[in-house]
Amino acid sequence: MTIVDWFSCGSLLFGAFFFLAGTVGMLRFPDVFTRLHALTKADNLGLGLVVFGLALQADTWVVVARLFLVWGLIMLASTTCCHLVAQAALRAGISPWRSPK
Amino acid sequence: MNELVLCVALFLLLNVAAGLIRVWLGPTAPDRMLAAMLFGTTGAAILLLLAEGLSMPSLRDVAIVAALLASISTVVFVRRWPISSSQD
Amino acid sequence: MTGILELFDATLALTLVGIAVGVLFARDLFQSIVLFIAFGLLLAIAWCRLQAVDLALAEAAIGAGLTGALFLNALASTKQNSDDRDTLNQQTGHRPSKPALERLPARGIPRWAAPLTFLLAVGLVAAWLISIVAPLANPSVAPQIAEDKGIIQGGVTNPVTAVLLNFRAHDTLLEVVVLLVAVLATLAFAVSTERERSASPASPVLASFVALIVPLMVLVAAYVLWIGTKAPGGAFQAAALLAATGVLIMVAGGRPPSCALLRWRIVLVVGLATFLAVALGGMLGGRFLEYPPSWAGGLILLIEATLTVSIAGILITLFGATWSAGDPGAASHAGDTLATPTTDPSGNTP
Repeated sequence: MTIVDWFSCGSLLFGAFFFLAGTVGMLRFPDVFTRLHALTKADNLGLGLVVFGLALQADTWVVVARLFLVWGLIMLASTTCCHLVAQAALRAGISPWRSPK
Repeated sequence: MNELVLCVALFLLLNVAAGLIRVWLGPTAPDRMLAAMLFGTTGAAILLLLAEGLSMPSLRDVAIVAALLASISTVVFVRRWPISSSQD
Repeated sequence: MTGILELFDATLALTLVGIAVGVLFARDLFQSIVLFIAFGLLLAIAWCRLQAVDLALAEAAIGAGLTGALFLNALASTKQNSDDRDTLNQQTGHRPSKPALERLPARGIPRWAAPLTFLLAVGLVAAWLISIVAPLANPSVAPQIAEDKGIIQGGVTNPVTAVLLNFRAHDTLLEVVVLLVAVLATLAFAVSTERERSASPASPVLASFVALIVPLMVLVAAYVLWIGTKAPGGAFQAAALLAATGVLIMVAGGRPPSCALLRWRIVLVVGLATFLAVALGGMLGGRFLEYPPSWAGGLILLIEATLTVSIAGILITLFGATWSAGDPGAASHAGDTLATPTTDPSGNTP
């Protein structure tokens, strides 16, 4: 394995770790706002790392461009949806969770 | 190298399966919609990994289409919810 | 490596079955819809594993994307309609005297429509009887596809497109007819089209998002249509993307298209009309739906392009028929808006 392969492997594994973090956050966090936080931050970073890892193995620049296009589109979609869902939840009267003291 | 790519794909598939628990638990409608957003992101990643791992470049087109349409049901959802009588 | 792939397939299959059971036994319809979106996405991955990338593309675009939006919209409008009726009954103390359907204007239906429909029905039955007596074309596809030669004769190099639009073109033709009939049926029942739309202002974030993503969607739709002649892609997938642009524009505050407009009706039928024209044109030199071999590629691309426009229009009409941008206060004064229906629901094409 060349050094590029090692970087690629590391990136893929880090990506998988962040996906895991996002899923755990979505299952364990107490309310919709914190879950949004876990989902749209950790998962987008995970996807970015997976895309980066795959781009290191790509043969042509076209493939690299397509990989990053997918990442960009998902980031665009999930940031917008995160804002809209949080806004709708607030308007519907779901109150954010507060730490019980 | 391909083994690792496919392993990561399998791992992400298990993430999707775990995300289904949130759809089941809820408790509110936005919580369930969140799970759909998780599926969009993770599904795109799985498609990209399969394209590399199985040497099927046309799967990248599927990933692009999935990424483009990932937002549409969430966007429709927030514009039609809440519906007066039902808060869920 | 095979071990991992088998594990992947097993997990995928188990999850799919699990979700399918979940869709059927979910506590409420909303939960079913979210599970159905997940089902569409995983099914797309399953088609990828089965080497059917065309289907994966269609499933990702329609199953995971557009169907979820259509279902959510339909669920919201059925709930809203029943709520409106309840509020109205509470306010007035009785049910509305006329069903909303009776108030639809009966204008614009020409006198010769009924005899023409009758003649067409008779012709259809006659054609069916004739087809039993004398079968039209060679229905077996497999031997033609098996040879590479056959696919090149089909005019395109993507075998799926060759089957859909050349060897089994009559299936596709009738599918488009089914879609058109579905639109007619939906419009007949879409009561909410005559309700005044209470548009809550869309978030500026949503507006910029739509402005960014709609051009990209149109671009990718054109790409998917073009690549369909030689790689996975095609009219239905491109149409789903185009329809998504229409849905997003409506969601961001655009008005749904009105079938009262002649130009919108042309959009709806242009695909079927072109398809039929080419099919009938084929009869000059051969049989129904038989293309001249040297023209096949160009004709298929022409049919696919017009079909894309029509199917997208049909999907947008299906969505727009029940779309009204909901706001939490809409149901409280819905009685007022029901009492004063807009007489002419003319809107712009998105």
